[in-house]
Amino acid sequence: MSSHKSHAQQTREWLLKQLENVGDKEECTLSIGQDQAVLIYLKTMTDPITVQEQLVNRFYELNDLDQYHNFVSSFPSVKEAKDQDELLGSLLKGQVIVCIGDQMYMFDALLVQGATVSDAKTENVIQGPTDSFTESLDTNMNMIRRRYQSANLKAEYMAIGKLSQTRIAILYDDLRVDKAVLKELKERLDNLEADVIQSASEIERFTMTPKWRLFPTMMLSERPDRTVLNLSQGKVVVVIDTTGYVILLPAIFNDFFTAMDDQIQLPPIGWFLKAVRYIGLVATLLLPALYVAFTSYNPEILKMQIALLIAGSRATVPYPSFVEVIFMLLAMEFLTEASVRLPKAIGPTATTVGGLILGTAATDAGLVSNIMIILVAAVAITNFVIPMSMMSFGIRLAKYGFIMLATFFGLVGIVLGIISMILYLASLRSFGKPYLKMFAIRKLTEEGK
Amino acid sequence: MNRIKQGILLLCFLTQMLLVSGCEFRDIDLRLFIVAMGVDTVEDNPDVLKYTFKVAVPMGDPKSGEIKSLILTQVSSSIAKAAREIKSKVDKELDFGHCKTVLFGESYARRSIREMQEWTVRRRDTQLIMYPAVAVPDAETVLNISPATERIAGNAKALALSEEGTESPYIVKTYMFDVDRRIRDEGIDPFLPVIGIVEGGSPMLNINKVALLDKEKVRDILAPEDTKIFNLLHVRNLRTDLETMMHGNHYNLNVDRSRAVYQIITTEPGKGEIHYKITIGGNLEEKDDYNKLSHGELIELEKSFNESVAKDVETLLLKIRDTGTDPTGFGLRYFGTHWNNATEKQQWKDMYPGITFKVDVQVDIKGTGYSR
Repeated sequence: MSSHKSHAQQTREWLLKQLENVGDKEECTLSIGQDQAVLIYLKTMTDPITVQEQLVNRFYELNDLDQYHNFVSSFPSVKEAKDQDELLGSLLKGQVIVCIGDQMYMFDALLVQGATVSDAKTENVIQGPTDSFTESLDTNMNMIRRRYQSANLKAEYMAIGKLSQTRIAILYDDLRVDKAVLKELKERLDNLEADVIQSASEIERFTMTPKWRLFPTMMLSERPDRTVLNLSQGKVVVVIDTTGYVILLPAIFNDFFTAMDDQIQLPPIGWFLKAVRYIGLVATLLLPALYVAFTSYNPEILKMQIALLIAGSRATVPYPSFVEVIFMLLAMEFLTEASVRLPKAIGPTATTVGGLILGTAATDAGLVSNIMIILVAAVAITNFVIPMSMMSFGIRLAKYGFIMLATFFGLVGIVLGIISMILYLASLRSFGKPYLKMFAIRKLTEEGK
Repeated sequence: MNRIKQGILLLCFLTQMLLVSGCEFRDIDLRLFIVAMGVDTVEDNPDVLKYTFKVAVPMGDPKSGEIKSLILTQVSSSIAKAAREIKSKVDKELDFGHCKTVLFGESYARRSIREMQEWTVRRRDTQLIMYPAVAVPDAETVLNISPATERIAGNAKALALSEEGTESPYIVKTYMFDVDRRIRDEGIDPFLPVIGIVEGGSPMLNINKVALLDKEKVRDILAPEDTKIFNLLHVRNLRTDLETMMHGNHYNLNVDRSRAVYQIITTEPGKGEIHYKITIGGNLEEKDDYNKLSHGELIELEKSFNESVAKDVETLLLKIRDTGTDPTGFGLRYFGTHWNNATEKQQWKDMYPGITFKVDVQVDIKGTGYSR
């Protein structure tokens, strides 16, 4: 009998060992005198009311272990575990393990938080899940755990921000994660000196070096499916309470050009979409600068037709090409900013009016050339092709650097700019990982293993 | 933080500098694009030349199809001087970046093209991919012609010469850098297309001859039919027609595949023979009698083509040999295959005037079209 009892205890110990470092694991012991019942569950996956009412309150109401035993086993959905693995699996599914003496029951108390979850706003996909993270850490954990049912998914809780004491959870797959990255992240979070942390990007800003960067080296995502994919690739996820975004790290340049559509679509289509995004990157970075270089320095590179066309349409424009470009691009930035801030009801009106005035009236008045309008439109559209908004903002700023270079040095300046941008990107590191290492995802996984 | 502030301050200063660029910053609308230029001799004064520039005026409305151009002429003692003198006649900066055609008037080309050719290759803003040509009767007349089909000023000549537009077997294509190379290299001579005009009726260009140059001056201008054969020897897969007579009937072949290779063979010391092997593939395009062709007749027809093309080619090669020019570069090939630095050039010089040709043509008629 004693060996049998120790078997149940062994199972429990094994279970707890598996759940080492899983921060949202809960183990509570209910006792009446000598008699004990133990509940083990993941608090992010289970409904606290069900657990409290059905399991905890009843225990004390019945006040007798045998009756409690009968009560628990009388539930139709309650099953007795066959082996350890089933036990662990059900635990990760959101069931409560009830240990009474040498019996272990699996009690279903799954918490489904569907109502408060809203659609993704900044990372849309065509086909695929539309749910996005909420402002509640526990809900977010629930969404991740539901998609990643493995005991290797560890969660470590911390509180950061001297005043805000924001709860965060560091999630990773224990077998796949790069331990060095994890260690560095913890160090940086420990050394974080900020009073209030309210959004994921603040953590991003406070922990990264160098502080002055144009391009993000951590990825912010609001999509649980992207998060889970990245977890399986060995990345670390930081979930923050009070914000709808999680941080994925380390992140390389290529990650910011990946949309979840790439995984959903057939491979050739996925590659095509990715190629389109990189072409978009080149277009949005270089088109305005090339316009300046071609019209002011190197018109001989253009075809005769285009050269004469540009010259003709610029005939009435009273200022040099770079003023024209910067003027139009600024107008476009105003429009973009306005449409973000405006209430949804008047947003489209403002953009239509702005677009109409900028597009048609400016050319009719002869203040801007026709070619310029096409160019600005192309730049604006291609900028939004980049799926991650942080990167898209960085690129938006970088193109002004190229315009400056083109204004001072022409085509040579653009070449200079391209070289220095590549050098700059190559010099960046994301938690020790080279930033410009293209197609590194698979390699990262292997290293993690 | 201090460094960042300094950086921002510097950036502000740089931005302000943009506003004071002044008139050194010349945009595309402050430039005049010269699209073609030409040079002619002046009849009563051998010391000066007449330079003609065709300037494209930018289009106001691209949809109107209206083209405007301006012809500027300047009589001057040198092209460099003429380019400066012409600047005081216009309001905007002259830009040679889009100059695609350079015409040498016939009388000038018969004297020497070297001065103008040198200038175009040497100058910084002229492109090496310009199309040079000999203009008949003179460059100014040809530059003044704007065919009705021309949609961009001066573009018709460039389109025809570059074969981007029409693809005629009578037009030979050459670039300025190639002419320069041919002038500098020994054992190879430059050739130029000849642009003429169609007399009477609407203004039109006619490019159907080739001028053979002895390094710098025109030695001979070949007739259109010879020009076609000349192209057959130099262009791979020339799209042309070929004609033959069989049993008193005319037959025309549409060539879509052609290739000419040659070998220089020294038959005995001081005497050489050039073996040409020409393979031609094509379809029958026209025949005089409307009877069906049998297979035997088709083979006979191929033979007839072989003979007539071989005869034409040999006649042309002898004609070119007798002008003393070497546009194919037989000499260069000879130097390359006869390794003797001391004697090879003299050997070739002695050998070329008496060299003979053996031409082997193989015509393959792949089809006879819709009917047999």
